[in-house]
Amino acid sequence: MKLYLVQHAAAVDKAIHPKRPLSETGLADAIKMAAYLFEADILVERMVHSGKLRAEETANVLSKTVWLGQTPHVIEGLQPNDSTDRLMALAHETHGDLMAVGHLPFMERMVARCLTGREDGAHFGFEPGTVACLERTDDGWQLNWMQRPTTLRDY
Amino acid sequence: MRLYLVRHGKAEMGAHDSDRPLSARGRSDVEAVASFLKHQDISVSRVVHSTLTRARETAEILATALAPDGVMEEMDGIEPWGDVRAFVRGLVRWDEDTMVCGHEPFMGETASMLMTGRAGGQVVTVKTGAVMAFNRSPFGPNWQMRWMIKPRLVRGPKPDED
Repeated sequence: MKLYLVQHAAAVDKAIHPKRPLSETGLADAIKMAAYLFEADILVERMVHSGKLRAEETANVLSKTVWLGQTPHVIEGLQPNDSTDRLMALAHETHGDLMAVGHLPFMERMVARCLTGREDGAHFGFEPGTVACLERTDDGWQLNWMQRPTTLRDY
Repeated sequence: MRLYLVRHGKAEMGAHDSDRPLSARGRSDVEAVASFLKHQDISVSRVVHSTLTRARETAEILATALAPDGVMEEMDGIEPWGDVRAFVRGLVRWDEDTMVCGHEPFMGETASMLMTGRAGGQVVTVKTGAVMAFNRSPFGPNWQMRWMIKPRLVRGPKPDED
């Protein structure tokens, strides 16, 4: 089973819009990432996000290529400082591949917890729009790949 | 400083493990990765490879695309049986953006060591032709993984695979 952990793409400042939708760059980054995932032939069986606008918008863009454009679900337990317990439980009860769009520091803690058992156990350089692909095997979780929008010049 | 850890492409079978060349598939996998990275404007000043043929051939393909003015050098101690801790300790003295072409389990253990401080634990699956990019944090000795790709992501699935 694969678990795709995504940090929402860049959003506008609170002063510009209190709900913080994606910025122009953020939207372009999400689209680049969606194209990359399409080329890489990635499809998931379920997509969830935190419910914050920047996560929802990122999830909607990625869903176009990885989840046949379906509307991703909001779930509890993906807020920036939430415990990772809920997503861990969801990952364990999900058989197909799952993509979750959320925030920092949550996503870095989740990656580290999967790989090392400790939320501060590994160092990952997430930036807005980053996707990390973890795979659960008989040996536990392993990192399969990771991609960030700034590495994708034009796609 | 950026550090790229690479596992050699798929190699032919052969009598002597150290002489096995890349297979046609291995060569085209590494070429696909090299051309993807070149297109993303990634370049390095130094490409290092192990003493084994498949790592040297992988390095040659990557160096042509990503280090046209750079140097290529052979390095002892990064063979499959190399000493991961000694290699990681040596990185302290490195300051140029460098790509290191080697093997499993060495590369996966090095990646684990950089990210978690421990070589064991198998935290990463390193397929043939995969590249992992790390950044040394300006705030301390910690390395962060920035991205990781494998041939399958940039060339699509082979019909009889996955």
